[in-house]
Amino acid sequence: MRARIVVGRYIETGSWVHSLDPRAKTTAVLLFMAAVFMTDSYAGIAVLLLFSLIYMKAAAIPLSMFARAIKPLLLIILFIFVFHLLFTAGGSPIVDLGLFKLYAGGLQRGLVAASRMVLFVAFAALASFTTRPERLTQALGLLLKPLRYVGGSPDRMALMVSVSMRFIPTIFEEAERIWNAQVSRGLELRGRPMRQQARLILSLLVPVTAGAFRRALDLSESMEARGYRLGAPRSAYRRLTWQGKDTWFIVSFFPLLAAVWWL
Amino acid sequence: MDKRKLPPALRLENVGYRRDAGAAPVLSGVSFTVPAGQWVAIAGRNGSGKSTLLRLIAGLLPASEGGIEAAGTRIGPASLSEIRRRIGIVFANPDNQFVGQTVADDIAFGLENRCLKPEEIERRLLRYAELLEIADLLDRHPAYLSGGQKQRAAIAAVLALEPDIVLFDEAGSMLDESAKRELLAIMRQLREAGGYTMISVTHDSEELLAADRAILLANGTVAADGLPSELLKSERLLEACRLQAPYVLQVCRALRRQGVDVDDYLTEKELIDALWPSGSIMSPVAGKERIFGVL
Repeated sequence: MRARIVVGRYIETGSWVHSLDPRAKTTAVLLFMAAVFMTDSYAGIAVLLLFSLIYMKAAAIPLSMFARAIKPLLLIILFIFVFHLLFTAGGSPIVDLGLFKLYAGGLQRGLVAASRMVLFVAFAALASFTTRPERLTQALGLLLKPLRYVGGSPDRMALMVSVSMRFIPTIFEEAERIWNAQVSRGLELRGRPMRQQARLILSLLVPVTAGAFRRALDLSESMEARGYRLGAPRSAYRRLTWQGKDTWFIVSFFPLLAAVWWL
Repeated sequence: MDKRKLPPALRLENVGYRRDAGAAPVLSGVSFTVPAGQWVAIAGRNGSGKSTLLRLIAGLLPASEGGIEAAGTRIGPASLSEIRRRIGIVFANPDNQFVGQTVADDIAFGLENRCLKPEEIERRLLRYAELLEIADLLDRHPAYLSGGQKQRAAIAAVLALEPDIVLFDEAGSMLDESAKRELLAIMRQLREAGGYTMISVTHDSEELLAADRAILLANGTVAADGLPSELLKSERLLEACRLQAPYVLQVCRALRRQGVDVDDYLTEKELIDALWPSGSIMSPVAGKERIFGVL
């Protein structure tokens, strides 16, 4: 189970992408997201793909890892594609299915929308694979600091993300243990109607959720006992340093944004 | 471990606790004093109020009656931050006490709450990681450690705060036998290092025996308070607290049932000295031929 978890995974290759400031990488994800949403053409998608591949190559992380990050979202991506294909009219008709008419415009929107999703997930995965999770959440806390002026609590949000990421493997492990216990008592999903399958999966979710609440209570005691108080000032053990290469990394996104805008 | 100038002590006076105003008391009339540097082990059946008592001492729950003075400070809402400085607590489930995504971050968590400078955090982190022999695990995610390693990391996180009083809430209950032995060895080292007042809640008679003093709780009150070696010989108290007698004591009783004339002993050395008084295996006490049947 642990080996299958890709979310929040850090893969050390010693590349220069790894050495970038996590704030630069978090900002880059936001800029990339903006570029992705500005794109509406095959050419734009091609530019974004090329751009991502350059940084993936620079990070020296196998492409198969990005494929694993995208895999859990395949159904959603497929749904987005099919939705556009069936319901977006425009351009010349390709096929007439009776109830639905498929248009070239719908096909393009579907392909572009699905590609956007794939590219965005892959780029976010690049940031996650090349940055230690604790550094990523620290960067998030720092970048969210302006929220303080509008009544938000960046520290609380960063802590929430950090604790969530910390508990991902633990809760997966617990889910696997409960699943195995139920399978050993004769639970079998195959061959059952969808409704029953949903009910059985619910029987897995209830103990996992109850366990998560118990863990949360224990954790809050542990945090309180170690002097944590919501909103109280804290120091930071890890210090982040912004270097010239971080600026250049961010600057590299402006030609991308211009190109995508132009295309 | 050199620190501790303060003489930490713990005093409980008529402490009582109810979950709700009308509910039955979980604890009532609990009074005892712990001198600085003493290791007190608290035992009792499930539901006897042991863990609640520890939470009251740690300031995680407010006492409904009586008062607790820890390290010279009376526990109350106004003194909580002072109490957090003086008292550290190691919980039963090491998995649920990690906040950080690496061992280093988790140890640093409490130190960051105290607004310590990064250099000081680093110094303490390395010092206590070395002490608990987890220096090579600092960059690891807590989920990928063994039970014993997790508990060592949790203890390091508590010790790094340099408390005067360390509480262990059934810290060995979720560990396998070898990790439990490791934990017991660490607790012994802490006692020998001096400076720490330790309160451990346990179901393990070996841990009870290792402590300086044992307090047995029954139905939320103190049923016995004394030397572990004396309390553990009382079958009535062991039964009242659902405790298993230490292994050597069990051997003594089994030997007696086999007709070997031997008293109750708690350590292997005492038992061996009693069975072979002259130090020679060739001069046995009566019934020695039955010993091997028991062992």
